[in-house]
Amino acid sequence: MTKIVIAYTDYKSPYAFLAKNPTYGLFDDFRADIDWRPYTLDIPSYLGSAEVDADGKVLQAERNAHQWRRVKYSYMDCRRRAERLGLVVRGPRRIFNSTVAHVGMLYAQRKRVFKEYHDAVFERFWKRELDIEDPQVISNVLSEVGANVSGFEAFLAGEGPAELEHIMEDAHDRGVFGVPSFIVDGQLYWGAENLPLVREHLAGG
Amino acid sequence: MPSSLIVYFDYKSPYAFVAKEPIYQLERDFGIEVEWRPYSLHIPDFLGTVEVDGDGKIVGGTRNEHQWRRTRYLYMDARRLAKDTGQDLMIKGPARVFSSRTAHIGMLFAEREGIFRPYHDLVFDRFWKRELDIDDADAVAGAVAEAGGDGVAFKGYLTGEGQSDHDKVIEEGNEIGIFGVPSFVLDGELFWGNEHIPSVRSRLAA
Repeated sequence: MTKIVIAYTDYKSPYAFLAKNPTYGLFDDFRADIDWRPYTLDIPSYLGSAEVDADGKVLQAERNAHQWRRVKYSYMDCRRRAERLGLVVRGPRRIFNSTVAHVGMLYAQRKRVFKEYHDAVFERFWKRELDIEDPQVISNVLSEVGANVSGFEAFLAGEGPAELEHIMEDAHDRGVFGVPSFIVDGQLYWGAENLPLVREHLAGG
Repeated sequence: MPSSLIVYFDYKSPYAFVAKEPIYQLERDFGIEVEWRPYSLHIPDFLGTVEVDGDGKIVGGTRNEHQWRRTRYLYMDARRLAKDTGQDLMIKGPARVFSSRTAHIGMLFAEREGIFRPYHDLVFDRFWKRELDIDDADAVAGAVAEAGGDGVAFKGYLTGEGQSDHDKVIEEGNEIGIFGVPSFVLDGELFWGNEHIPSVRSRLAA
C-alpha cells in the first residue's frame, strides 16, 4: 500500500531547503506520496530577531547570547551541509515573512505546478535573488512555471491565507514546531537528519 | 585521523543521556579518549520557564506555545532514539526545570579522583529514573561516594574552587560556540546533536 508522508516546509528555512531533494527521494525510492505542506515558522518565538546590513553588521537585535550562538552554528552547519550537496545558501539579512510564498505554494498545488514552483522559489530565495514577501514577484514565479495566475490575487486576498491558517492549526495539533518535519503513520520526525528513520519506516512498512 | 574529541553534555538533557553509550562505543572502536566537559544549559534561554505548585500543577512561567511543542517533542524523540539505538533506558518526564550545576561540579571532581565513568553512569541513570536530585549537594556527595570518591572532599570542592572551575568550562564552551548538548568538537570543528554521531564516526574512520 502506498504510504503517505506529510512534509512540512518553510521557504525561509535553510534546513528545509537542504531537505527538499532528499524528500523527493522518498517518492523515488519508496513510491511514497509526499503531502507537502507549508509551515510558517515564527522565528522570533525561539531565536529572537535581528537585522544585519550588507556587510553582516548587526543593525538591531533582540536575541540573547544563547540564541546568537545557536544562529551562528545553524548557518555554519547549513553551509557545511550545502557544500556537500553542491547548493548555495546565503544568509539572509533579516527575518523574512514567508506567508505570501506559502500561499503561492498552495496555489501552485491547485494548478499542478507544485514541484516547478517549489524548486524555483527555494533555489532563488537562497541565492538572494527572490523577494518572497512580494506578491507580484510570487505571481511572476507562478506564471513562469506555467500556472494561470488570473486567480492568484483573489486567492491571496482570501481563501489562500485562510487555508494556510488551517494547515498551521492542524500542524500544531500534531505537535509540529519546526521544519523540515515529517509525519508518517502518525509518527512525527523533526529535522533532515531524521530522514534515514523515515526511510527505515517506509522500508519496513 | 582527528586527534581530539571533546564532548559537551548536560545531565539534565535526555539527548545527552541517549548519546552516552554511542560515545563510549566511539572510544572503543577508535581507541580514542574523549574529553568530557559539562555544559550547564540555561533552559529559560530557549525553552522558557515553567512554574509548578507543590502538586506539580503548572501555575505560570514564560514558556510559549512553540516552546511547549518543542519540549513535548524532545522527550518523545529522545525515548524513540533510545529505542532505535537498542538502549533500554528509563527517561521519565521532568518534574521541574533542574539546575545541573552541582552535579557538573561533581563530575569535575570525579575526574580528579579518577572515578569519572562510574560517577557519570550513576548520575545519568539515577537522574532519569528520578531517583537523584542533581541540584542537591548531599545527594550528589552521596553519588560521588557511591562511585568510589570522597563525598566530604567533594563538598569542600563544591563550595570552593569547583565553582570557578565549572564557570571556566562553560565560558570556554561559549567561546567555542556551544549552545546545546550533546555537542562534539572534533579537531576544532563543532557538531551539535545526536544525529551527528555518524558524521563524527566517519571522520574518525577517515
